[in-house]
Amino acid sequence: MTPGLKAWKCEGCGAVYFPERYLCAECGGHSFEATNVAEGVIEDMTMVRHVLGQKDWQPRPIATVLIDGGARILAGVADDSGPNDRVSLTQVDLAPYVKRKV
Amino acid sequence: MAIRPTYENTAVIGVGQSAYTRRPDPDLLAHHFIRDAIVAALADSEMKLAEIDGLAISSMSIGPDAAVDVAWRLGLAVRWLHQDTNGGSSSISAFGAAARAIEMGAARNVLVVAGDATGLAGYAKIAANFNRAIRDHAAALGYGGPNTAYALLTARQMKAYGLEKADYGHMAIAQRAWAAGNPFAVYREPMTMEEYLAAPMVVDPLCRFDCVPVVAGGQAIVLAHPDRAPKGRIPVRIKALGYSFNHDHQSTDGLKTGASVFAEDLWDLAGAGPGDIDVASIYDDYPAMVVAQLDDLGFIPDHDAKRFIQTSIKDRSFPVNTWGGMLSAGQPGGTAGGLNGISEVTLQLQGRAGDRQVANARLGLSTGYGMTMYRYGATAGAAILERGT
Repeated sequence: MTPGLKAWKCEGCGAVYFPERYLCAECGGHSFEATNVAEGVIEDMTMVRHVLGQKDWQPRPIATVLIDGGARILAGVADDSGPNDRVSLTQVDLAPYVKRKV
Repeated sequence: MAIRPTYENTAVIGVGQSAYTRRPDPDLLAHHFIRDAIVAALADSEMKLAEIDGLAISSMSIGPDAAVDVAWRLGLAVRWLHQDTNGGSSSISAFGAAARAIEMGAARNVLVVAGDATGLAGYAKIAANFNRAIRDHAAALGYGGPNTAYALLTARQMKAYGLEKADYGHMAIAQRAWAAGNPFAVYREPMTMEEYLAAPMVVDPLCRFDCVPVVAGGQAIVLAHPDRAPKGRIPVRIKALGYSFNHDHQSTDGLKTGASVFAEDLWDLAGAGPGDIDVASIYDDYPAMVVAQLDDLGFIPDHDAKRFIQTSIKDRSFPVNTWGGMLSAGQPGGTAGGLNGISEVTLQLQGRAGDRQVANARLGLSTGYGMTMYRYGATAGAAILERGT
């Protein structure tokens, strides 16, 4: 687990992307730098209770998070945070998670 | 000056489908269901296999085969071939490509086919590996497939439009009532609001009846010159087509689909407006997406979705998804689900929709929506179809 989320910032106009892009939809630029985004805000949440083809499934909370800089991402929720809460971002391999900012 | 295309040489002349089944024999492939649909569509069109010289196919489960492999296995030698990979808008996309092929002389008699037979385990595998974004950044979260994306979107839509669970219930119940008239539908028994509201949550706020039931099945239609229609058959003509791909880069709340991008042009090309539509097939993987597309296309006065559901959908006075939609008839992959919508509008405009026939249907609309790349669907398409002469 690493603190923050590795996102990509357009070197031309500063637009922040997740997942990675190769041309910037805002300015057409093709150079991006990795940027570590520390925080965001939960917009909506759901609980995934059943998944097709899975037995023994444990319910999993997933949220839409507006990360600082502007991109909206899907993230796992690691505590009881909910909509409108300001959250810290972490990353397990390539998957983003959030928990309430302390 | 924009080109205003016309489709003088193209009509839908016949349709066909396979049986739909929730629990398919594991030995049956998508190819078998597509085969059954083609046999039915050719019989309906009074056309021989050898007369087909164009093929458009969409499927999530023909792999590792591609379109030409399917042509080979189905005994088809063609001079125009198209494979569409746009999920729930594949078929509306392939439909437009086929019409343009005929108008340009690339083919005369085109089969547009779609079908899937994934089984539940196969579906789960496709859902977790849908694209790089889902595989790399969402699957590990327990994403589990499009239900999760549309649960989040439905929560946003409920807030934005002031909708409650029961509003979506009216939509599912109305489609179930239409399904009673469709012998191919997998769920035909009437549904009550009590049953809808008591259904277990799958991904909050989506309950079982909000999530499209996956089936195995296939659909096929034949496009050809209107003169080629069987004797006495009304050809169905194309008035206008509209498409959008990656309209907002997945950057918004997703409440506006790609249909919002082309709606104005679509009505302009058709020389008609939402009030002229007699029957509509609106791609219904989830009730919220029917609301979104109807609003994008201008059907909902003042964007008051709650009132529109109460006054036009609940009592079925505005005929939407008259075969039961995918929510009741079943989703044989989004590809064939979208083709079923075109097929249904065709049958309605030809006066061949049996127990579910809408009286005097003259102008119809069919849409597609799909490719949940990350947070919602990125592709959309629509066709305005007209009862020909």
